[in-house]
Amino acid sequence: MGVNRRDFCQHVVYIGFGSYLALAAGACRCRSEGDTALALRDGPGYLTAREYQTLAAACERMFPADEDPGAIALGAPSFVERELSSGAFTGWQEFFRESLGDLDSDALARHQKSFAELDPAEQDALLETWVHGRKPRPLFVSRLMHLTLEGVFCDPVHGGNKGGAAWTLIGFAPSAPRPGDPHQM
Amino acid sequence: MADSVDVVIVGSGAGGAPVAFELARAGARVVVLEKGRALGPEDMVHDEIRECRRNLFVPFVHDEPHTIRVGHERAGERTAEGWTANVVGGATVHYSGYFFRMHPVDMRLRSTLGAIDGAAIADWPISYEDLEPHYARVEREIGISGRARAHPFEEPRSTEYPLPPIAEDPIAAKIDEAAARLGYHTFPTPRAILSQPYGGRPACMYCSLCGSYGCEMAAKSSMAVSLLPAAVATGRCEIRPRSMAVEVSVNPDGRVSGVVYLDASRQRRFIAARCVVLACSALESARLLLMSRSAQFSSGLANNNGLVGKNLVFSGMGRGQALFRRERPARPIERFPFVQRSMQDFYFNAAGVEGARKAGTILFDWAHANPIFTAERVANSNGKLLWGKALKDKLRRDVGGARRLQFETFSEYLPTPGTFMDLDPDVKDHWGLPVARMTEKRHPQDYVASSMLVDRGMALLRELHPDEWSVFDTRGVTRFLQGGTCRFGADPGSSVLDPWCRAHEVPNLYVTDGAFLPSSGGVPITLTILANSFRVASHIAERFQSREL
Repeated sequence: MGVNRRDFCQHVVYIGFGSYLALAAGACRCRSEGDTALALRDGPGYLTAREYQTLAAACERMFPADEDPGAIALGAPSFVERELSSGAFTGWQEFFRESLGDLDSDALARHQKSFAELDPAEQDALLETWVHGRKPRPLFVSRLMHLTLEGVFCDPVHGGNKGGAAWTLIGFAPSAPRPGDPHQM
Repeated sequence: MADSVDVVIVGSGAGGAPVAFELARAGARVVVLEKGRALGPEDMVHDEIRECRRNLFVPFVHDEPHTIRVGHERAGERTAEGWTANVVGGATVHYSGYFFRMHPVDMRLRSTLGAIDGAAIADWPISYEDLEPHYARVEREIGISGRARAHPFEEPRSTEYPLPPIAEDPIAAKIDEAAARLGYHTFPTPRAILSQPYGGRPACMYCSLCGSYGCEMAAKSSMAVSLLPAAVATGRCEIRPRSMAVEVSVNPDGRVSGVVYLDASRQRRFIAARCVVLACSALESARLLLMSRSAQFSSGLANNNGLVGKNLVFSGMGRGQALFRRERPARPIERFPFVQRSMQDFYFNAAGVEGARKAGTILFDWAHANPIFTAERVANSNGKLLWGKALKDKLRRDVGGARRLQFETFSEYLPTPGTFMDLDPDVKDHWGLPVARMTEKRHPQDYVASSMLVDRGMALLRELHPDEWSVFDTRGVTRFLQGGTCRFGADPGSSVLDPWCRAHEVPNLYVTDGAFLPSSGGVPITLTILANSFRVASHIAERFQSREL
């Protein structure tokens, strides 16, 4: 299951360069949203800090804060990174790293800012071009949505859906027993 | 040390468990090979991530793909479709337990409907009356909740249900009234869920996450909590989890000698048996036969007439839904997770209704409560991805602020020459074995039947005056329900199995999952697989006792 060792090592070497360049190119002025995202991160994962902020910002666009908490406050980006690291999704780890780098490059090319620094409207517009633009890359957005919704609506035992707030939004009540409950049979 | 028993059964679900239970009780030494793991109540924790989305009960597609194609030209695409389970107890562990019997017309489709162009329909070699006592037996043995004589289209029954229907949402009464206004007849859906304590197991506690989950209470009547433990308790039945059968071996005399399998550490092992029973799903049993090549059976075991894998059927499916808005509940809990209503007014109509004579069942229930699944459905509705604030608003309005009543139809899936399974020439699983490839070309009449049922289901939903309603699908298919790859029949030239589900070409080889089915019926087929398995098991037991095996 998952990514085999040889592929994994190749990916790390290849991606190492890309992220180094991306990091060097951007003056990382983190906005408060980015700080929150990093604060809720479960320690460093397989992404660089900059890639993680791009991921967090993109997750937040999928499920933004309004009168109810958004993806970052719910802990979804950290969940997404951990699931990608686990190897449960064959090939997705590398795919996400590349896509996040490209998303950031697109932001730099268009606005001379990192993706995380863009206004939400600019971020949405950029993601929209990935779905419907002239050279669409809808697979990234659909996979991002797949994992973001898992991080938003999963049982809080997985680190996402903090306080079960996303369940409240849709009127879902969990059933007993829950994951992590001591089992009595 | 030679590993040798009387009977080896491949697969521990609805097809295999009754054989293990009956033969162990009759004194035979039985081993059940199951490629999945054994799960206990500690694994059943209502975790959507682990149980539904990380495949606790079914294989990962990158480990064990199936492939599927429409028409002959293209290569098969990898898919998880066609898997039913990968766990001790089979799909009965995570099913919803809709336990309908087939109707007498299902066994007489060819003589009732006559020839249908492009459809390979056939009468069964047995009648409903032959199967009826075994239906009653299953309902009694594992515990089925329902109400007999609840509607005029019911199949003939010799017995009451052993348990009354499970609790229903108050909307069931409104559905009954709406149905009566339309001249329809709704009835409580029979379920493999205990409404009261039964056989040492407790009643359902209405947790709201049932289908797609295991039951920590053992109130769901799965094989893993009913027939399998009873078989093991005889002291003569052993279940071997994580044992992947790869070949059924044949002696020079043409009888099978046992099964080669890979154990948990991928060691190749052989277990000898006087009789081999395949019951690992219609697709996988046929795959195992096709992988078992020998001098006597060069194109696969029991396949000298080339029919293994042919006549594949699934279940035709249509869906519709209605939204009922409500105040956002202060304390969000659903006391009654089950609607518990079905309708069979259009199961069979000799004159035809909108061109459909044989159709099937309409089953009403609340939309599944799974939060991630629900959010994905809303995000992907209307064919484009919805995200951001618009998605959240829609989730609050249509999920938090509404209940969604839906129906699913189960209708005839006609066998056609263009729908079959074979071994994929290119794709292998993680054991290096060729995978099952499905080729599908559906009969247009299937859509006539499912569209007619969807129209009727929508009429009933609209009669409830919902705030919104929509048709989901009129041309769907449920591949959890599969049959036909080893059709049974009296004629060895046109079938793989004889009327006792013994291979025409191999005297000590049986197949007892859905593979025997010449027709899909208009109901979920699980109860029929169980009933037939009991019927065949009693026959095998007799052959053992008379020393024929």
